[in-house]
This record gives sequence, C-alpha cells and structure tokens, in this order.
Amino acid sequence: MGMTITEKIMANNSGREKVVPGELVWVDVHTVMTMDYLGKQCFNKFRSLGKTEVFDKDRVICVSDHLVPPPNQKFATMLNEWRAVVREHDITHFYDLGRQGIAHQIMVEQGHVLPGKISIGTDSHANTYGAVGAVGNAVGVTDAAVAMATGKAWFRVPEAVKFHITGEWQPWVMAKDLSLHIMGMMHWNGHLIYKTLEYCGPAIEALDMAGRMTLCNMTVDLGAKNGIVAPDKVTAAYLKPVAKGDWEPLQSDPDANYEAVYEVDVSKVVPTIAKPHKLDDTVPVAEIEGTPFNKAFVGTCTNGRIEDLAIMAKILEGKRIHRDVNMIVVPASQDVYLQAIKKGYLTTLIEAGAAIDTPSCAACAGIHTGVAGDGDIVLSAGNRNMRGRMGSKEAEIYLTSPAVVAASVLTGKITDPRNL
Amino acid sequence: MEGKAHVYGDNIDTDRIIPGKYTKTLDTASLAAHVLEDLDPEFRHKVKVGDILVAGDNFGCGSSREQAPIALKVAGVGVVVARYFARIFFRNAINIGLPVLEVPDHDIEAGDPVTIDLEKGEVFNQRSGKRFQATQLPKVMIDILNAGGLVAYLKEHGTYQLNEE
Repeated sequence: MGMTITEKIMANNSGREKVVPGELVWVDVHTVMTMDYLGKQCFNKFRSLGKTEVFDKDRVICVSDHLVPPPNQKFATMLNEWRAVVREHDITHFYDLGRQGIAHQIMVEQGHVLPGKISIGTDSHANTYGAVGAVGNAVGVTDAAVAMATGKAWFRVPEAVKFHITGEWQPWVMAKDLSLHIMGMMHWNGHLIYKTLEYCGPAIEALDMAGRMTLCNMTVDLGAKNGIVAPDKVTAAYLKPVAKGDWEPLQSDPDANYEAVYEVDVSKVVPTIAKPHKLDDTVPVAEIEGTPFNKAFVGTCTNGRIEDLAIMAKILEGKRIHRDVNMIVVPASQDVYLQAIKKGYLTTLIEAGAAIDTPSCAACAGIHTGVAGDGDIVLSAGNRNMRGRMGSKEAEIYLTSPAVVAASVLTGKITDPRNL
Repeated sequence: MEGKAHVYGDNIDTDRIIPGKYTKTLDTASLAAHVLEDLDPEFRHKVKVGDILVAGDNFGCGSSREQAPIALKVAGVGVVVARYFARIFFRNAINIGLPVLEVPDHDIEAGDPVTIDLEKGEVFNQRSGKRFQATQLPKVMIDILNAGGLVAYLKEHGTYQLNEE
C-alpha cells in the first residue's frame, strides 16, 4: 500500500522507508517558531535541558505578534524580557515590532516553511503551514524547547481523511466560506481528532496561496492534527522568491489509505457564516441577512492577507461604511501592510471609514486593538467565536469571509455580497 | 496510582482549565490557585494530591497552552481520564508528565476511589469492583511520564530514539 503525503513527510524526516498511522516517530524539524508571550518560557525550558546554543540559529524563528505594540506596561516589560532572551541566543530571524507580522503569516511569506518538511510553532494555528505542503503543527512550550535544543520532535503518525473539492468557485465565495462550510458539514464531534486532513481536487488546485492558507489555518478548529495541500505550480511560483532552503515536490500515492473521503462541490458553496458562539454553527449568509451588528474586524492569520484586503477594497471603493459600524482592519504582516498601501487598498478602506492598525494578532487574541466590550455584536473575518474570545463574554461574534464583512459594513446589517 | 474521582463533562476547554488571564506568568505554582475556577470554584479546595480527574469527550480543547496540564499537575491531579482528549492537550500532558488515559467506557462517579495501572492501561473502580480498559499508551510515553516529562526524560536518557527501535 502507498503512503499519504503526511506519512511520506514523517517517514522522510525520521529516516524511515515507511511509517503507518499510530506509530510514534522522532522527526527532524525544519523550523521551530515561537512568539512574544510564550517565547521566554521556551528559552527557559530550553536552558533547563542544559543547553546554551539552539540547534540552528537560522531555523528557530522568533516573532512578536500577540503583544505588539504593547498596550500596557506589563506587556511592554514582557516584550523587553523576550527581546533580551532572543538576542542573547543570537537568533537570525527575529521579526520584532517594525518588521513584525502574525507568526503564521511570517513563517509562510518569508519562506521558513517548505514542502516536504515539518515545522512546529507554539500557537494553535501553526496548521497554516500545510498550505505549502509542509506538515505544520502546534505544540506546547516543552516540545518547542526540546526542538530548539535537538532539532527534533515526537509525533504520532496520523490517520488520513481526504477532502476532495471539485467544481467552480462562484463570485464572492472565498476559501473561508469553504472552510466554514466544512466546519458545519463535519460538526464538532471529535471524529477528526488526531487526523491529517488532505485538501485536494481541481477546486484546490485553482486556489491561490492565500486561500490555501485560510483553509489549512482552520484545520485545528476541526480538531485535526494538520491540514495539507500537496505542492504544485502555485506553490512553486509562490516559494521561488522567498524559500529559505531547497525542497522536493511530494504527493500522496494513488493507493494511499484514507479513513474517510469527503467530496465537496465548491460550486454549491455560498457565502457562509458561523453564528455565536460556536464555529460549527454555520449557515448560508442569506439565511441571516439583515442581522444588525456594530463592530467589524478583518485581520488575523486566517484572513489578513493582501488578497483579503483586495476583495474588501473592491467592494468598498467609493462607498461609505454605515455610520453605526466601527471597522478595524489589521494587515497580517508589514509586507502585507506595505503592499496594501502601494496598491491603494488602504486609501480606499480609509476613505470608506475603516480604521487601520499595525500588524498583530490584535483583537482576535482578545488582548488589544479593538477588543469587544459588553453588548458588542462583532462581524469578524477571524478564526474563533467562542464566548470571550475577543474580550467580553457578553459580546457576540459572527465569523465570516472578508467579502461578507465588506458587504455588510455598508448596510450595518449582515449582507450577502452577491446581493450588492 | 490511587485517588478520589472528580467527575466533569464534555468539551472542557483550556480556558476553563486555567483562564488565559492567569497564564501570562512564569510562576507555574501560582496556576494551582485558579485551576478549573470557572467550571468548579470549589475544585481547588477539594482536590487532594493524586486525585483523578474524570471527563467526557474532547478534554482540553482550545488553545495550545501548556499551562493547562501544568495547572492540573501543580494542583495535585494525578491522572486525567477522559473518553478522548484534544490533541495538543494530550501531547502537552505527556510532555510535562501528567498521565492521561483515554477510557471509552466506565462507571466512575464523583467521589469514587479509583486505582490506575498505567502500564496495563487499566482503570479499577473500587466502589463497583469493575475494571475498565484504557487505550494502551506506547511504552515510550509511559517512560516519559515515569521520568516526570519529556525534559526530565531527555536529561535522563540523553537520546531521542524510540525504545522499540
């Protein structure tokens, strides 16, 4: 029997011919990512292993994203301690305030994740790296510390589930809609826990890297171990100017084993929204059109990319955001921010009445930059809507695509972009 | 291992195990003062060293924070038994040396005295006299747990090979 792409990656990076689901392997890790608010703990634990030098200064990636710019003295002090420990270890790639972005965006756009390799990060959305055909995995402080010391991590080889996506993408339908559609289709009942989710088929091949990142990003919220898209021409073109290292294309074998295969016809996927306070409580936007809200948020590792800002600019060009709505837009990285300025998207958004903030996890982490207060109804293009996620437990969060957010801020009510 | 059972439900997320606002600290001992406080404010007063936390489906879902299993461990919890765990919680628990056992079926009620045999993957309810089988943990995981976690295991063994190799 053949192997899935994830099995091949785990075999190749543990010096084996073959691995099977359920097996435990120590794998070579290509890159280890940690961020401002957990990074010092990682370095402390790393030191407790008796180590002073990381396994490879070029492959431990440090990013300031959750706490920047610091909204209070406590975080400012934490950031100073974090900077000190990163500099002490002479880390080559330190994306600190001024060069920052959300860690998962940085890892992909700066070429720190490569097809066929394994990258780990101390944040749950490290699944994003699957977009380039890497195994991207979220880990805790101990895993990161051990990998910083040894370049290795333990993994259980996951069973595979295939999502075969066919059909034509419809106007205004984005990868986020497919992601929410799958969330609603699968419902949260644990049967995808520990699994690798493989996204393939003509509609995936037609998807740009931004869309693939959105799709893989939300894999964690299905309970899975990782999500992956096999590398193709789109991947190669994206990586060419940025890849930090060589890579080989890998595919699943035609006779690889899948625990389940789900077929989705994307031409039937419509603009979709998750209602408060559950991610799998999804409906077509059309079903709840007219629902009022007062805050809008677009950014995050899920939907803060240039393609997301582009579709919003297209919708908001020459229009004004409803007077009762406050909108915050946070580009996912400095690169995205700069591109959006050069392309004029931010001018369009600001003229429409949006507030722009410097790249960070922002309100999605519930820490700063537009957190939700009591009674807020937030329309967000982020990734989680559980109670209290963006701040107040007395706030409601609707999750949807940047296109739906842009269409809705014009009316102040949830609006299907196809009806504009 | 032996302890008294504390029984809770399904989908207990990392925020209910230890609220995010208490986790921006390097002082792990301080986590015990807030463990499970939104779920059961009395838990931290009731729990005795070695007690067993029993939950349903998907225990530990939510964030990747390692403080969740650490908070339970420093509060005295000896073993967590659940129908199944969220994957990041599961690996974090092994890594910090908190035994976690997947037990699909059992009759444990709050207050039951329970004996756990990690090597055999067996859970014994002293009240009912019944034994329940857990999903067997691979030997290397039991070794990591016995060492007190992955850092201690690596210091002890200095190697990253799996036992069966």
